[in-house]
Amino acid sequence: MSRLISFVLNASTVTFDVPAGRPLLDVIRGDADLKGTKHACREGDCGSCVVLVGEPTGGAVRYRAVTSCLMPVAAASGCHIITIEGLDPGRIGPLQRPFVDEGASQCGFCTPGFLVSLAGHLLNCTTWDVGPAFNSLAGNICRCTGYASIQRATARILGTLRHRVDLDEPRFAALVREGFLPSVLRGARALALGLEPSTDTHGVDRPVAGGTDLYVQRPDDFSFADVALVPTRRGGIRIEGGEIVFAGSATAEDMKRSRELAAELGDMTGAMDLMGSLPIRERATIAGNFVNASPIGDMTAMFMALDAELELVGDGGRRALPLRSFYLGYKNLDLRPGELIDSIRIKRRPGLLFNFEKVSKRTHLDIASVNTAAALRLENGVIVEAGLSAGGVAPVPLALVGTEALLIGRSPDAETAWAAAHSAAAEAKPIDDVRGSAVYKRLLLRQLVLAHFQVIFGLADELVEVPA
Amino acid sequence: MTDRHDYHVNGPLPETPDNDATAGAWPKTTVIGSRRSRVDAYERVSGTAVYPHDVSLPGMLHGAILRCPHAHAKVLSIDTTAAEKMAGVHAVITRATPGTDIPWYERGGTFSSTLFDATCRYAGEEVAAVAAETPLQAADAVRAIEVTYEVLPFVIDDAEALAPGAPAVHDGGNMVGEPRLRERGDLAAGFGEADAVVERTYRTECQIHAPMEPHGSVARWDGNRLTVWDSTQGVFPVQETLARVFALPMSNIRVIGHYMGGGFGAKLETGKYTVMAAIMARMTARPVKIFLPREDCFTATGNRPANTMTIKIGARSDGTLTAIDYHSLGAAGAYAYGADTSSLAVYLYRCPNLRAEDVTVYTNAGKARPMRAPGFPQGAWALEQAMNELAAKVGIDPIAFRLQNLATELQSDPPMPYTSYQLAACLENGAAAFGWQEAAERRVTEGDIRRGVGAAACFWGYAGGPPSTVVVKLFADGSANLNLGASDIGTGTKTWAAMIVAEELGVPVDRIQVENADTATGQYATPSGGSKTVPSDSPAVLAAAAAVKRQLLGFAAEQLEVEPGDLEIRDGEVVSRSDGEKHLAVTAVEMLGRRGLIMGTGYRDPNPEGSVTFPCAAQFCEVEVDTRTGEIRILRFLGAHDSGRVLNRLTFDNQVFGGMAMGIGLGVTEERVLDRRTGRMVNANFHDYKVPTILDVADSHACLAIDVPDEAFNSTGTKGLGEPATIPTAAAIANAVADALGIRVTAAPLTPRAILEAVGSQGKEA
Ligand SMILES: Cc1cc2nc3c(=O)[nH]c(=O)nc-3n(C[C@H](O)[C@H](O)[C@H](O)COP(=O)(O)OP(=O)(O)OC[C@H]3O[C@@H](n4cnc5c(N)ncnc54)[C@H](O)[C@@H]3O)c2cc1C
Ligand code: FES
Ligand code: FES
Repeated sequence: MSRLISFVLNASTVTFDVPAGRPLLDVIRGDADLKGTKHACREGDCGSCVVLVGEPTGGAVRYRAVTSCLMPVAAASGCHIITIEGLDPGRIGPLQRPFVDEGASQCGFCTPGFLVSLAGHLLNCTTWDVGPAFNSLAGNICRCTGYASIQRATARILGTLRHRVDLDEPRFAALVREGFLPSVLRGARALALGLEPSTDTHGVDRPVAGGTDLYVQRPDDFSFADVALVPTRRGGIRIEGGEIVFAGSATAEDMKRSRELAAELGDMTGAMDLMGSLPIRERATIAGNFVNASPIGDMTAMFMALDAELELVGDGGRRALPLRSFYLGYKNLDLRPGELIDSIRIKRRPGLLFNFEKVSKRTHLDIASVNTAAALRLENGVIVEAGLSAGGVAPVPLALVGTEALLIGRSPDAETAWAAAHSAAAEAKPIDDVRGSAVYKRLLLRQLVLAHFQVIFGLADELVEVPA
Repeated sequence: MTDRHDYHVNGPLPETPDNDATAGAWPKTTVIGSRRSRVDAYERVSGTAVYPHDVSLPGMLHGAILRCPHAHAKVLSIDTTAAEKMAGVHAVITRATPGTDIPWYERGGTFSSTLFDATCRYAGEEVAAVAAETPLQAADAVRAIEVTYEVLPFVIDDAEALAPGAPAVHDGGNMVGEPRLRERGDLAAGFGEADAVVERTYRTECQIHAPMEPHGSVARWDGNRLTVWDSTQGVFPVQETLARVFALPMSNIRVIGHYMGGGFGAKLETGKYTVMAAIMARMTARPVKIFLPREDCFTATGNRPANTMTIKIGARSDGTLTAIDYHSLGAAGAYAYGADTSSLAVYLYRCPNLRAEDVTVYTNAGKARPMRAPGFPQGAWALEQAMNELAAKVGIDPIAFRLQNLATELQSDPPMPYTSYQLAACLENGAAAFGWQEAAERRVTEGDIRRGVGAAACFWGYAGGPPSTVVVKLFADGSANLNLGASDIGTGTKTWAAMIVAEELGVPVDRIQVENADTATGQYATPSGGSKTVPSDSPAVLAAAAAVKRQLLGFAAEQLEVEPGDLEIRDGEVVSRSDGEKHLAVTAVEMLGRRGLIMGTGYRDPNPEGSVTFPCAAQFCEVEVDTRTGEIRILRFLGAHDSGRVLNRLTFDNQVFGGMAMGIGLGVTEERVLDRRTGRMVNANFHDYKVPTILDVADSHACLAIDVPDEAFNSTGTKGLGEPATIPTAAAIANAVADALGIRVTAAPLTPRAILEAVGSQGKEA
């Protein structure tokens, strides 16, 4: 079953009569016959398929680097898609030159993905420092270079732009002016603004939001199917009276970028960067994370600690449900057929101290082996409110209610930290699996709970010295 | 068909025709040794390079392969009726299909399996294949094939494979061949002399090559001529295999591999998928493309085997090594492979008394293949950690301890000299450049964040040789065409080859076009692997360019009325050394214009007799270990490398950094996990199998090229680099971590869990 889907691909508008669920990757490589976009996993893990998706919003177009293997082509409708071919000025341009000069392409199979991811970073970055740039490349695997040449090339590009582009000026135009984007893209961007945005669909049993879980778990179900998209273009994160309200379709990157959220909970950059990789975070929605019901969902752990409330909308109308009551058992949810998570609410609590910790074998591009979030509030030097969650230590994401109770009324010192750490480890019910043995996960949770106290209250040496 | 085209050329030494021009080493160079970007850089950064994975032909079908889900099973029956009827399906092949009874997995002249064998010896073994209009139709049809298996007991653990009563992977027990035993001196006497002895068992886990381009091919028939686009490290072995399989002359088979997205040893063998694509292409008279899903790349395209290595090593109190007793056990997987690791222990250090034994066993798991320096990183993991412990016991700095004991000749019987061996310089200059002393003094052994330094040394036991044939053509306009057989697997083969021609003929690199990796139009080369492409093929390139030069200068000498020996080429001009007035633009050489082109053929000369050639290296690193989470942060890495003459400094450095990342994988992040109950790989994806990312490598990288041409070895003075770049890395990290923690974690990878558990048990001991 196919639909006519139109978007701007590099320099011109294209229309394809294709199944709406077909991965954008296959439309680009197959229907559009552009083979510069590679694929090496089709699971969002390697970054070789990254393209830029420019979404028109309010007269502007916001470009994001996403893994095209996990994105239904329907979600590209009305957008401006830029692939490696679109970044090619027909010679070695200023974006490509440092990659060439530093030898940052060896077998070259990963190179298009790196260049497109980097272009996405240049379009969005708020600093010319290398750290965030490397972070945005953490979803691209290269088996040849060891990344040193890619780091050098990236640093050179940022060094050039630092002197040429003002962080506040319109970025797209500036990058075109400096030759980092071919000038034909400017006209293409205008074309995208003229396209009708895609029509979102409701009420289908398994709607796709970011697709970063569904397309990994059931890739074959979508290629030839129509697909219902969760409305993703409205929403975001806003303050409403005493509450912070998140659209269900707000993404991990939305959380990272939200000024409103940072004002309430502190800078979220560090926490969100621990989740997946940039092209995944750009698509990964909060509701998708909840409904996927992985015991180690990162956003789920965060919102558990924050004691969030879900607002569910379905044929039967609206209802509210605490997130803590949403999980009935392993992958078993209190979600009715056709029901969508419309929004998520947390109470604003001035002075709330939030922290998220996770450890995994490889820092990024990763689902935690164990994660935990803490939301604590002090009054007169004692803890009066405590939210503590843990993932990866039970069949469902866990609110550590026993430990939360233990914390109330205590002062945030080393003794409390150790008591909480031991209590949390005792509350956990981990099993042995690929991500670690049960013993290890308990040990890890204990360490991560200590880390909360270290980060939030600056306890350090005290924690080492208190005996277990 | 597997081990014949590994790194080593078996059998009689290949015939090497005499070169008609003898190339001498360059007195000074202008192009060679500089930093050169790639000749095909634009194609790589614009997305226009066409990889085999990108090949799409009119009418092309897509193939998929059905694999056995059991670690060990007999195929009793296969029912393809439903699959054959499915929409879009054009061919289904199984062991019952005529023409599929093709012997497979050769060792020592005998084959131990077939294309679709009746016995599946690992979870992932091929059972059937389908060709259909779309990849999804092929995948669906594969799922519709019904197979009845008799499930057999299996063994996946290397130690258990040798236990009495263990399930037999093949008839005749689970030992692969005879253990390899190497002995010298008197071991007991050696340990008797020792004042300090270290004895420990080390373990490395199974690592997967995981090149970014998946394995696969496209096959197309034109009558009885077959063309195959293959993601391979060497087109000629694939041609040879296909000629044998289809009983066709080699000239009927054309294999093309212009671009390929990485191999690391996994793409040295001809893939079963290539043969299946060709069979189905012939059946359907349509081109067929089979590329493996990532999961299959993980399970069925080879690995670096896990090894368990026990080493006992002794030294006198003055630091002189007296004895090494080394034992290694490794798993070949389901088909024969030598999982040996002992070479470093046998040859790296001078030690008169030694016993080294390598045992390889069959297990019901994916077959091992040579992976970037097969056996050596594992051997370094054991030997170089033991050397550090022993250095500490005798109270000598680990670098000084190594220098004191370095072997300076091959300890064979009789001993043989090395052609050039700069390992002492690697250690000394490397330590100086790294700031070893200062870094060691910065060591932090208490608190949450510890810091330590580590180093490890190595050689790589192979340096290449003949055969290799290269043709260079100089056109009338002074541009040149270079034709060689070797695949450029990402290492920059085409670029250094062009640089050699540029150096020799004075033609600018951008006026040279390179043709390579095509059995129909290209010259012959062995596959690119084993760090042997540069030392094997660069002398042939030089010889071909020199042959052109000799003819060109001969013609110019007649025109200028001087002796050819008086002429040289400078900036596109033929110039007399003795009389500056006599010069001629290359394009003004009349015979060049009249002939249209001058062609030169170059051959790889034989290696010198009575000596051996090893590239070698030392690597140094500084790490931080977080004792709360067990996470390791690698602050910096320096590699000091002797690979003979440096051809391209840019690709040289980058090769070293790439090798380090793979070593970080072996040492810290990567590990194949098999389910003990089913024998299946449970982390066959990039999510759970951790290839290092840009955030996992060292914060800073440095490379010190020792750059001493090995003139006794070959005409370009080159040795290889790809393998030594990764050999010492993991061991250096382990030494740095041990330096920081004061305890040694002997099993790789050094995951947060391993570190945390070690730190935890240290606490209990204290
Ligand atoms: C490479 C990679 C790395 C990852 N790393 C992490 C990680 O580090 N941490 C982590 O937590 N997760 C990680 N994930 C998992 C995934 O990205 C997240 O779970 C993400 O939040 C899912 O959101 P989505 O919008 O993509 O979900 P989708 O795949 O679109 O949907 C998932 C499920 O949610 C349902 N759904 C979506 N929106 C709604 C809604 N509004 N109402 C009701 N149901 C809805 C869908 O029907 C589906 O059942 C990773 C995934 C990949 C591919
Ligand atoms: S193909 Fe690997 S992330 Fe899309
Ligand atoms: S250059 Fe080969 S994977 Fe990056």
